[in-house]
Amino acid sequence: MTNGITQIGTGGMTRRAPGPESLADVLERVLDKGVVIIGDVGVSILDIELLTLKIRLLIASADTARDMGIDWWTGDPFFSSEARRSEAEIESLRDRIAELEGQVQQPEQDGSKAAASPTRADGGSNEK
Amino acid sequence: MTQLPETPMGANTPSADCLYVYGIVDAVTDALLPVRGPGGATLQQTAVGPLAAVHCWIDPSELDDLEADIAEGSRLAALVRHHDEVVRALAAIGPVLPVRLGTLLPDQAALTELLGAGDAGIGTALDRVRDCGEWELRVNMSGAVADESADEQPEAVGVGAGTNYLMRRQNERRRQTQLRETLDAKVAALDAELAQLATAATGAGMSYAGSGARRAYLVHESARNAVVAVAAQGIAELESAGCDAALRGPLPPYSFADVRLEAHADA
Repeated sequence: MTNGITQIGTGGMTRRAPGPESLADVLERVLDKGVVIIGDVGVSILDIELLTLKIRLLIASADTARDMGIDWWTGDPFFSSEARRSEAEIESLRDRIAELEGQVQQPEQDGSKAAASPTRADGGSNEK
Repeated sequence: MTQLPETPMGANTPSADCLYVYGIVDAVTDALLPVRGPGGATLQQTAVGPLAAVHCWIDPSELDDLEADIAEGSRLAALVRHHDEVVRALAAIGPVLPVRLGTLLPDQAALTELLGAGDAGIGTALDRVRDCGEWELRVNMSGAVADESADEQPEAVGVGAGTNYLMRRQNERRRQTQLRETLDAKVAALDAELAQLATAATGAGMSYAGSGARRAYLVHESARNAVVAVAAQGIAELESAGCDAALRGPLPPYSFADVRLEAHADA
């Protein structure tokens, strides 16, 4: 039985603590393994062999690039769920800042109106 | 009771006309295969004697033109993650032989035929992984054996500047080779200890791809603590030498379900 995943060390994996793995880690484990069904009873829709080859080439390219210090995709929301989460967090913080700025500006405007009203009442003496 | 994930593909509808098979398990009651939520397909099992295959109905056209796209959010990513989630959920219930990703069968009769034909072999393979989990050791040495003089530029002027530069590069290369040999020996020692504790291990020794190495071990629950203790010590040594190393598990026994089932429609 496999209740709870333990991870010791990093091994170049995405996370030190047990948690969601990168897609490359899952692919590495799942592809090309398991019970194979052969014979004309099977329905072969996915050309798994070809798919596996293509994916291994993609992963090998990514690993080689990472070894060379090229990892731009890790910060690209299109390729990385981590980056997507960060972008969503940044967006939420932007909204919050805008909301707070709105709240700060509102009393200022109210204060200006309050200050302007008496001036107008006494004939606009505040104007130069 | 372990909740199995919902199926992202297809639904149990009249238009779905193919079986997507996840794994082979001990025949269990349907109570272990809880009904999915709204919109999700129901996982089903087809039992033959003591064995059962877990599957769902899908429209095979949903797997057409599946590109080798490893970007998160792609159709392939969703399929792979879902397949792994279901197999993991099954492994949490009991022994499971994962079926290869993307395996489709035309109908339940074909599945019954297949299970019946491979009965003895499947039973033996299932018993082999019973109470066991797969543990995966990965080591990456690229950080430890990086060429520290690679970016160094030769001195612009001066007698013997070029010779000195080449000498430094040569010494650095020797240092890397020596370090690589030392790390290889540490990895081999850790691998040997883990393989001895394991019920089985993949291949012979660590399998290298570039500067990284990987091996999977089938570990019985009774040996789990010993494996974790040995790995913790070995990995700490490798990490202190600048390597990335990790042991992860227990995972479903993907690497130890090397079974081929053959069946013919007219058999």
